[in-house]
Amino acid sequence: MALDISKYLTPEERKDKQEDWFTVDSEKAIPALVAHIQGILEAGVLPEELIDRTPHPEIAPAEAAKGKVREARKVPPSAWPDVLKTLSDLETSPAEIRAALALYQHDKTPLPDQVVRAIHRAQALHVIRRWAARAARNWHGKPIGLHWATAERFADGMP
Amino acid sequence: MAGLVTNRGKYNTALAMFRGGDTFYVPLFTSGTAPTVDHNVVGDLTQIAAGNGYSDGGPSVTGNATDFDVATEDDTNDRAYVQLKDIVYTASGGPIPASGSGASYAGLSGAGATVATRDLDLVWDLGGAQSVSDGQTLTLQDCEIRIA
Repeated sequence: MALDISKYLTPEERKDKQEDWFTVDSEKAIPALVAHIQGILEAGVLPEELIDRTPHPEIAPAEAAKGKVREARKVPPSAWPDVLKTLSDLETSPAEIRAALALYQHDKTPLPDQVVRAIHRAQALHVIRRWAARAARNWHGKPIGLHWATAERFADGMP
Repeated sequence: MAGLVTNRGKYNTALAMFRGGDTFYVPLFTSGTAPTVDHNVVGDLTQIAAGNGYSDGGPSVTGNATDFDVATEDDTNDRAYVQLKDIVYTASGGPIPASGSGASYAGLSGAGATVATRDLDLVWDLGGAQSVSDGQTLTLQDCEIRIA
């Protein structure tokens, strides 16, 4: 199973750069990555876009792919469909998340269920971003810059 | 009066540190001392034992796009990230660590002749003590630096 990350990338001009920059169409890329990652986890296969194309003398080509799948498996399965919901849909907000985390750090006050759900959603978004970064780096074959365009509905709400 | 740092400003701040050609090192630390934001130098934590392919202070990387090979500007969450290339420690002639506790943390330090006094810029939690036997490799994959 392979995801063509280039479908969601548009070259972006930047001056004084050491790498090529691309704008990521967040509105399209994130839902596509959710579906793709869920499919990978369900099928139990390795994502082809994360198999390294440039040989490394000490790293097997599939190591990065295995690593990203391991990261994805640590995310609660319920978090993946929650990525496509807003924080408002989850009945929470960045302010509530911040306050709840501060309380927890202060005296271990249990986090409300909706905040836990938002944290899991943020974990999934984190995995998505890192998965896309690795896929884009592989596709481009050289150092890369990724500019994720604003898509407020995918804001993770974390401090 | 404090100014507003834009996402572009965050990205440029990250790049100033990781595109300037400076030398950094990636040491490995045991769980002997839990890292905190108040730790300043490599000597504030406990490195794993040197030997069998792990050198005191860890391998070097250069502050450029080759070694920090993915930069990210996130306009939705107002953050910037720089990612380190994969770092490999290969055990040769024996296990890594050569003795004692496994590696629970990896750091990013500055340069300097005396390893213990190198500035400690970052620490990554490896999620448990890691060790590899002779001939095996420990790979740090996509270590990330977040500029919030």
